[in-house]
Amino acid sequence: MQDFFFIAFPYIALTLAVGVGIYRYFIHRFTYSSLSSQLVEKRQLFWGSVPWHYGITLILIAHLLPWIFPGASRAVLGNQTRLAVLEVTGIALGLYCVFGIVTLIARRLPNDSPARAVTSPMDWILLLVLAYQVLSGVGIAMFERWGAAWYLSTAVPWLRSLATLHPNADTVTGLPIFIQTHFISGFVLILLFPFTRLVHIFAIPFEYLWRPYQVVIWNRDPQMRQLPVLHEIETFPHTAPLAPCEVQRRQLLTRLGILVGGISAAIVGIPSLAFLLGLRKVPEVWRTLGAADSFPIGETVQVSFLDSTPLPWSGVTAKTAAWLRREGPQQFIAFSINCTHLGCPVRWLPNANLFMCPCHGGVFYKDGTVASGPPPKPLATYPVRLRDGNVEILTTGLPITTV
Amino acid sequence: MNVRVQVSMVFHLDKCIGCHTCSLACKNLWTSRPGAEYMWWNNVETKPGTGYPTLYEDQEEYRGGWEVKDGELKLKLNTRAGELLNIAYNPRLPALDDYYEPWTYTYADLIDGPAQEDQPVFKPVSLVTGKEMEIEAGPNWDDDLGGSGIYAANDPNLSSLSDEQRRQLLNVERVVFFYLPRICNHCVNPSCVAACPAGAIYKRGEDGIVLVSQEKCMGWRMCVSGCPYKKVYYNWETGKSEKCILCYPRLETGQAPACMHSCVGRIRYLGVLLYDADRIHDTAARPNHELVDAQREMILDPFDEEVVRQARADGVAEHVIESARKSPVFKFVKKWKIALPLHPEFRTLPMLFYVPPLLPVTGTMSDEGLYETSSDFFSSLESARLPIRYMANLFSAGDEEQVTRIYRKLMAGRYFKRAQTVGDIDSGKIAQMLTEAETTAEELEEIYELTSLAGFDDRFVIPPFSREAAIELVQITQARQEGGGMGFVREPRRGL
Amino acid sequence: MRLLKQLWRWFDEVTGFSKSLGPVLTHPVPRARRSRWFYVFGSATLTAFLIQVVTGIALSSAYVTGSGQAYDSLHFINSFPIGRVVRGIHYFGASAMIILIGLHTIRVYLMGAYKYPRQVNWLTGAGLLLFTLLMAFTGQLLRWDQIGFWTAVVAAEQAGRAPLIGNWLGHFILAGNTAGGATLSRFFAAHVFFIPALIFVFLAVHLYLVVYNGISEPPEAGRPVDPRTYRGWYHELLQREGIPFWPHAAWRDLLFGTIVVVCVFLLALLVGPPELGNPPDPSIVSASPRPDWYFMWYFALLSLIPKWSERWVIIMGPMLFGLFLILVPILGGRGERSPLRRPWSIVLVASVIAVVAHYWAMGIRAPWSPRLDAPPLPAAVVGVTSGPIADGARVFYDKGCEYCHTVSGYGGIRGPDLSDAGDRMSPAQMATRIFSGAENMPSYRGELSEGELNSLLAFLASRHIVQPPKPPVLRTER
Repeated sequence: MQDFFFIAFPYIALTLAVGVGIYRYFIHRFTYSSLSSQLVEKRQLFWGSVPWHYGITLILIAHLLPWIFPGASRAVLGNQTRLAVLEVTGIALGLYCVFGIVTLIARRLPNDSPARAVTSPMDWILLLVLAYQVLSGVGIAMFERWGAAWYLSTAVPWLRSLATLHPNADTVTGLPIFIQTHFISGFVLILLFPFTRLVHIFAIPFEYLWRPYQVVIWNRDPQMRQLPVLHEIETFPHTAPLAPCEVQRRQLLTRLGILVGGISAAIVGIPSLAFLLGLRKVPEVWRTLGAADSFPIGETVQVSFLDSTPLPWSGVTAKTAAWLRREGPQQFIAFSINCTHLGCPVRWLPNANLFMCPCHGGVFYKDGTVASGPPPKPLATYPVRLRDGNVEILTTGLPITTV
Repeated sequence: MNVRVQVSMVFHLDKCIGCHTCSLACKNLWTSRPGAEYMWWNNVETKPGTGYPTLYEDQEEYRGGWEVKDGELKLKLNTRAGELLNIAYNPRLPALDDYYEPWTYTYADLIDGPAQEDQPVFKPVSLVTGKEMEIEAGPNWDDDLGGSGIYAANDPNLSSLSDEQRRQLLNVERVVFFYLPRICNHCVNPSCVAACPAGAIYKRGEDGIVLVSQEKCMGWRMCVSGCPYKKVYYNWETGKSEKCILCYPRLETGQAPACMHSCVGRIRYLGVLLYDADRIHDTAARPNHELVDAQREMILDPFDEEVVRQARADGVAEHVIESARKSPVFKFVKKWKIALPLHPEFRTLPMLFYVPPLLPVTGTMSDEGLYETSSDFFSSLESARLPIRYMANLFSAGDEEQVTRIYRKLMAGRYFKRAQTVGDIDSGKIAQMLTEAETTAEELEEIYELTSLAGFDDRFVIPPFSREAAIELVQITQARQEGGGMGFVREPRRGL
Repeated sequence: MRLLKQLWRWFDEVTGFSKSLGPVLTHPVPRARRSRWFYVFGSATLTAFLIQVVTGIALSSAYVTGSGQAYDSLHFINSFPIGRVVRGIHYFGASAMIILIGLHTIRVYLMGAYKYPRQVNWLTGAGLLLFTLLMAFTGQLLRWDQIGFWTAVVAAEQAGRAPLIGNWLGHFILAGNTAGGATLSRFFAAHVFFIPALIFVFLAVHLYLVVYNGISEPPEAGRPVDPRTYRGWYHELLQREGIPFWPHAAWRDLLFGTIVVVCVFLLALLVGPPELGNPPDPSIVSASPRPDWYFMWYFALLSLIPKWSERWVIIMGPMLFGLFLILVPILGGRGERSPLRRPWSIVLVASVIAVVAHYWAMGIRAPWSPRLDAPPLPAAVVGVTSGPIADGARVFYDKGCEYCHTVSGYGGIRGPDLSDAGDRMSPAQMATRIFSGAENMPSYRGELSEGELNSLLAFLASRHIVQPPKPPVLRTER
């Protein structure tokens, strides 16, 4: 059941939101509107709409940022003072929103209110779900052991796993039901998107900030009238006009064709793309390098070991090399052989106690720090441990993000 | 120079009898739908009066139109970013009460009511809520209330009049008013287009008609505030804005707009104007007293060879140029210079023009309460019942000289014809009047012809717009022709 | 013969080829009075591409797409003389394609042939240029020797520098978090299926547009392109003095294409394919990755630009180049076509060629690469066989100084030539430099004993310009 709510349902909701949203935009564009009721009722709207829209926008951003930049958010939230300030701000914004949505509902309630006259059943559903969403959000913040830092370690991994097509709800399934309902109703809102006036969010006209003030539309570009036609192309047969039902039929068939073709393409394309893009998580394993005593103290030697997932056809490429240096009886340090500049293999110059890269001449000291040349940062190191007198190394990936 | 075409209209206010036939023709054709009942794309106001919606001319309140700030032409409403920040709640939006709440009556009660002692009555029911309501205001609630202390006294155009002048206007014996029919001005520098965040409002290149794309409109409502004439209306049912479309489906089939077609007083003239689109910005940014002249300069003379050459280069068809030469609007506005735009100081460059009404200024009331026609018409302009100042506030951004010049010409025409038909005026006096009005006998004859005798074909001159030819290159016209002809492919139903 | 003719007639009747394709083949093209030979590069690029398709299919029939076996399968291919020839053709065909597409791009740019209505021709061409470079890159990698393997690593490292998605992109390129078994298949699929498919699609559009818009006429100074009138004018030009493409214009393409094929074949026969290096064993660290010649200049660029600008150049460089290609037809869609009226285009092309050539020459010399294979200084250079100077020469070699500094023709050229160090610097100055290091020189503080330092200084101080013995020419390690 939880798999359905936290794995299947989000995808269903998103697919519907995007699919139906796009369909509605292109096929029923007339129905896209904010459906403002300001004309018929203005005074109460001010106290509802303004707190609601400003508050919810900020709160949504606060929900999105940790999701997109978990590392940065963790750093920001790591400090107690900052955490406290942010959480208090969050609560204040939440209450601001609650005030807004309650006002918005209240103004539509009275039987003779003009705002009620322009309220559709869908509006009531939307208002209730929105109200539940902000109320449960504020409730969780106030009554549950839950906060910004928790969000980062429970909901964010789950949401990110959804985004990377490797859904994993382990971090959220154990949470109290109350908190879980907040997540579920969040996706209910996404599901509601294309079926309610929420679509106006897709249509926020940022383009207005830079478009020219005046819009002039020509049926036909006046400049093109002078253009001699090179090839007379028959775009539409000049036979008898089509009957309206025939036009309808053609349109229907065209749309059906596009729909069926799109579905077929998705059936074949999405799994292929997912396979291609899906990142197989590679385990990290400890590999034995040899008896500790075989490495003299103070010397740097090259060691090679198998990577964590050698494939039958990997051949020699399954090997990985590292520079192992014994610092003391118990201290080992293993450097990646990849230069931090562009990844070329560095060589150890034993007499000079330096690592040198053959590609662009980067030089590192024996402790891996940069001595000269283009490398931007020290050599990466592998975790090393001693077990039963053997040196073991933890396989890790290439230090790709070198900057 | 970049020549464009504008379908334009002239209202000869002397001929308006305030019958509202135009308003009703328009209402029956376009706005008798749910959500649109309160809209009057065409309305006829009594001036002095507060207008519809109430006090729409007060731009300190509604902030419509443009203003020049630090030499830059800016939307009076807000900055672009400011508009986006106010998108959830537009503080400058008139509420339904500023128009009026539309209603109907429970007519069925007359028939279905139970047998009873009293005469059955019907009650007013709101067309918004469907509930019974108290009627507090309605369309043209100020009709004919010239001296009213509620309506006339609060006309924003009276603000720069002296206390004495205002006191006289409200004096029952001196009550005076005239009618002002208004539709969308189809401006050349429309502030509704500029204010629309969604980019849904646009000006058609071929004929200059300003339209709201019902598909693109998202109901952000900035156009309503942005238009200083309040001629864009928000349909509370569909969540889209609507406005006068100058009956373009009729124009395209060679018929006059409904308002014009039904005009009893034959006050309306319709034709095309050529104007220079390169000068729009410069014209709109001029100081107040230069606005009228600058706009007249922006409108081009279709008899000028250079203009014609450029028009052809800019893709204006030959028959359109031909039509522009015959345009009655061109004659009133550019040739005779006796028609003025409404409130040019809003700087939207409105493209509908008014010939100011002559009647109320020709006579004054004597102290004994007798109506006296002044013998010296030119000096009486200064002591007119409706001060020139007021007319200037309406039609020339406060420049009295513009209005005076027109009145001189109109009155010269009147005396000239009287001398011709009755013969009781000295020819020397006529000659002096002609000189003072800077006009000629030929010109006055022409004005007289078009004002008094013109048939429909003289008042309504448009070229074939050949829209079918223009659009069939870009779309299959038949694809939109479902069931009963062109129009919405799908019923315009409100979104969820 | 008659039978063949009949067969053709039947075939043509049922397919309608001569009816549909005939006009395409014989469509009129402008009669160029000058610069006729400039128009052959496009078709020659196509010829080179066809060479690649044919030889590529042949090679793929024996190539094994396994990280462990690819290298051996190449040795297997090499074991047949004809296999070597086919590899050679594929290699030189690739080189030819790159040179020709470069010339074609320059020709089109200089002649302003990308202007209205041929903007989309240019855009598809830009796509083809990009794909060709990608093919060259992935193809070099498929050689899957030590250099090929490290090229994959370097590619992933470069991609890893992209902001936000870098890490993910690097993983995507390597098919995991380290180069290994899964990596090669990825590049194979790209080189053999994905990019060629894109090339075919773009090529089809490109060729269609060439026929649809017509071949551009040679530009003439003072005859700007005006979108309002161009098509009509061009149409008139064709009517007035057009010649059928086949055979009156196509014979040049045919001749030049044949020359390209013959040249490629001769080079393959005489020079042979690039030799395979060491096996792709990541644990052999004595590898010095170098790109093939066509990317040598980029390789050089990355080593010579200042360190701080690197991440910008790696990411922004290709993006700006792509943006430039896209913007060229969009911003310059009309106006003068003749290079004489567009002097900046000549300056631009000349400077790009100059920069690329310069960096290419630098890349061949690779002065930034330390010479890790430099031999110890012979006694003839040192001058003595014992004493502090001889000790100093030993230190000079042992501590790696010689990898970067030349002394009398021995050693690397990354650092300054020290053949005349004694003439230029006092021992105190040298000691300061040795201790403090520099941007491109490590500090030796703590790595040298006092004795070593003194002998090193003695050795350096003894370096004066004397007639050096003829040095052996050192080849760059490849």
